[in-house]
Order: sequence, then C-alpha cells, then structure tokens
Amino acid sequence: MTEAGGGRVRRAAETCRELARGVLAEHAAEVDTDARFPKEALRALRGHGLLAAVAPAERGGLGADVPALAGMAADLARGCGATAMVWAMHQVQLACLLVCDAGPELREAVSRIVRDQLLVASATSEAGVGGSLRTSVCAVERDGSPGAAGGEGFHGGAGGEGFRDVAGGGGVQGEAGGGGVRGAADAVAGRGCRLDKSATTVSYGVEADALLVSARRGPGSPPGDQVAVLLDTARTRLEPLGGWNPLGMRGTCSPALRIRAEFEDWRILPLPFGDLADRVMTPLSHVLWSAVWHGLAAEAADRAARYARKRASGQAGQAPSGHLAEMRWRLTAMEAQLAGAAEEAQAVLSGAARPTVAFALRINSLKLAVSELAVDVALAALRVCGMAGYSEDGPYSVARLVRDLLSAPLMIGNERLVAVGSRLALMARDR
Amino acid sequence: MERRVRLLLAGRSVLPGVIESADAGADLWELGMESLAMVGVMVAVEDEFGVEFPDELLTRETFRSLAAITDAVLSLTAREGRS
Repeated sequence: MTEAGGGRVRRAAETCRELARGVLAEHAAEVDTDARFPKEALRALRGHGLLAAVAPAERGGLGADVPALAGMAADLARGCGATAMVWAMHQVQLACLLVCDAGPELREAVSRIVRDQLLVASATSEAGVGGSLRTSVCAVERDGSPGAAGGEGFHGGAGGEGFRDVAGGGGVQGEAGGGGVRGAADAVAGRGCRLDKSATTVSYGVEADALLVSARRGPGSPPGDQVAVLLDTARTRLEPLGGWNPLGMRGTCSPALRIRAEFEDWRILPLPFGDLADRVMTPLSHVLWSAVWHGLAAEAADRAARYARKRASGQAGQAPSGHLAEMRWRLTAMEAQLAGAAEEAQAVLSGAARPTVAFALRINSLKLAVSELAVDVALAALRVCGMAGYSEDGPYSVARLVRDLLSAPLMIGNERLVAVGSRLALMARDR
Repeated sequence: MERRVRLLLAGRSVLPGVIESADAGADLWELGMESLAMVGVMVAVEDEFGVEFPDELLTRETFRSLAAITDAVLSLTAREGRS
C-alpha cells in the first residue's frame, strides 16, 4: 500500500467507526426487530465508497488490505452486526471477482460493480450437498446441448478450456432467434447458458445487484468440478423458498432461494471454483466473519465493563466480577489469532504465498476458535450485566449481540469444519 | 515415473475407471478428485517414493494432474538426493 493509499484507508477506517456509532447504531434495533435489510446503513457505506474497500485504487476502490478490512468489519459490527456481516460478505465476493476478471466483458462488469458500488451476494449453499461448499448438484447447462450429451463434451479435452468451444456452438443453435437483434458476435458468445439452483441460505440475495453462484461446470461434471458464475440479479428469477425469522443476524435477510437464470458464457469465472475457494473465498470470509464476531464480542465486553464500573462506584470495596478478566483474555487470544490470519490471508490473496494445507488449517482454526470464543465473551458479558444485559433495551443490553453471535458456530457448521480440519491435520507439515 | 504414479493411484482407487486412461496433463480436480482425496494421494506417493512433501508443495496445484504429481516427486527426489 502506498503512503497516500494508507492515508485513504485510515480515513475510511475512521469513517467506519463514525458510521457504526451513527447510522448503523441508529437503525440496528429496528433492522433486528423487523428482520429487514439495513438499507440506511448500506446507503451510507455506499455513499462513502466503502462498498469498494477491497478493490485496488487503480480500479476505483480503496485498496484496503486484509488486516485493514478486518479492522473495518470489527468496527462496523459494534454498530450493527447484520450490516457488518453484509459488508464483509460483499467484500469477499468482490475480492473473488477481482482476482479472476479476465476477458473484456467480465472485466467491464466487475469495473461497473466497483464504480457504481453495486452489492454482490453469494449463493454457494445448496439443498442436497450436506453443507459442503465444494460440491454442487446444479450445473451450468447449455442451449442446444441439454442433459448428458452436453455434459460429456466437457471432458473430451485434457484441460478446462474445452468447454468454451461447446458453449460457442451451443449459443449459435440455441439463440438463433435472438441472434439477429444482438448481432453476430453476441450470437456466438450467446446468452446460451442456464442454471437452476435451490440454495439453502442466500444472505441479502434479494437486495443484491449481483450474485456469485457456484455450480457444476456442466451436467456431466462430477460434484467437485465447480465454477463460479456472476449473475445480474435484475436478469435472474429469485424465488424465496421459505421465510426468514431467525434468532439473530436478522438484518442479513438470508432465506432459502431458488435461483434461475440465463446468462452469457463470459459470466463463468475463468478460475475453477475450488481454486477460488482455496485462495480467496474461504480465507477472506473466515477472516472477515471472525472480525465481525470479534467486534460484536468486544462491544459486549465494553458494555459489561461500563456496567461493572458503574456498580463498582456505588459499592466501594467489592471485588469486580471475574468475568471481566475472562472476557479480556478471550478477546486478546482472538485478536492475536485474527491478526496473524489476516496477514497470512493477505499474502495468499496477493499471490506472495500459496494456499497450502497448513494455511487452510490455520484459517479453519481461526473460524472455529473465534466463533466459539466470541460466544463465550458475549455470555460472560450477559452474566456481568444481569437483567440490564438480558433486556433488549438500554445502554447495558447485550441481548442482540448474544443473539447475533449465536449464528457464528453455524455459519458453515463447526462440526463440519472440525471434520475438515482433522483431515487437513493429517496432511499438514507446518503448524 | 509417471506410469508408476498412475499405477499407484489406480491401486489406491483414486478416480477409479478414470485415472487409468487420463491424459498426463488432465485436471484431476475437474475429473472428480475431491479435496479430501488429496491426503490419500499424498500418503501413497510419499510411501511409494520415500519422499516427504514440504508444506509449500501441499497445494491444489501440486495434485492437479499426473504430470504435476510426477514433477513434484522428481523435484523432491532430486532435492533429497542432493542433501
């Protein structure tokens, strides 16, 4: 980061703190009560250019590195956990797009997302895969080559490039009617591709401008051969498959959605989804989610300390609750682990380091540790504050913070991550 | 060497029915290898060739194709031969 860039990022971090105390905190209770999208907060973040935080300056973004993004996520969480989580998830999707926006159309689409501060959601969950990010049931289908016949073509060649030829051919056949309107070049590239996905949880999918969707490369592809597709929500049919009335993180608006779209071949990201997940999506999401949980836990601890301080001033000589010290050591452990992982994730994201097994294991460990520790801190704060903390209202309420944090062990279930981590630990050479 | 790697993976039932005829450069991830199969491949290769993968080689790239695995084994045997 250049010196000018560093100044810009520092100012952005200060803006995050101001917005957290201002517009985020102001609407947090209503967003939570009504389980509605935090539109005022997102408007403010957009107004300050903060939706493009992860994009490099030369692409029109802030150029914030992973440690800076983590700091911003934690600061935003102090005002509204749901807003911070939406912002964090959006940064992850944008980072995924920025590492592999090869090709003129895709690059222009990503530039527009940065320039217009469009909101990007992801649909990587799916019914029938048991919560596994790395397998998909739904597949990209091509016009003119439906079903298995189209799928077989994807494995004809040695590499991943072969499918583009299949797409070109399919587009010509399938889009013959529309081709005349858009011209020959468009007809060859074609809308040509389709997908139909039943995703179990899509955070702010309905509110987003674009969606990053994982799917099998083709109908004949094995479950693990996935691609990521950038969809324009205005041209996508989104059908909620259920309601949204959860315990916490209610403003993220994350119902199950059926996603149906027709799209052009260039909207398939050139990097295989597995590589994108290893290098960008998993490390950055675990770091930024952890930062949000850390911010929520730190806010709960601060409220508990203020409450205990007020009580202590009225009862001189009485020892303060041991939970105050417990919260501090848990927070300190979280901060150290988060800082280390953020630096490492930055090195991998920038290409300076490789996403090795040991790295994946440390990122996995970060999510496991922070999601558990943050809940412990919030529950300790609740015990310190007593009824004042249990209340949904008042300066010592930690009720929403506790409810928001109880989502942490479930966002990619910790049982699944423990199983994955144990397999990784069999391979890892370094700690 | 590549033949040995191929026979080894076939013997360990990695991508059965596919690995036997896959091109040396074919992307094993696209052919259906899953992340968690990497541990089996790693252990089998280490046992067979008497090498140990250092952390910097434990990536998806190293296990992407028969050719990539073979290259990794060759570089490791060369490295261990020198030391």
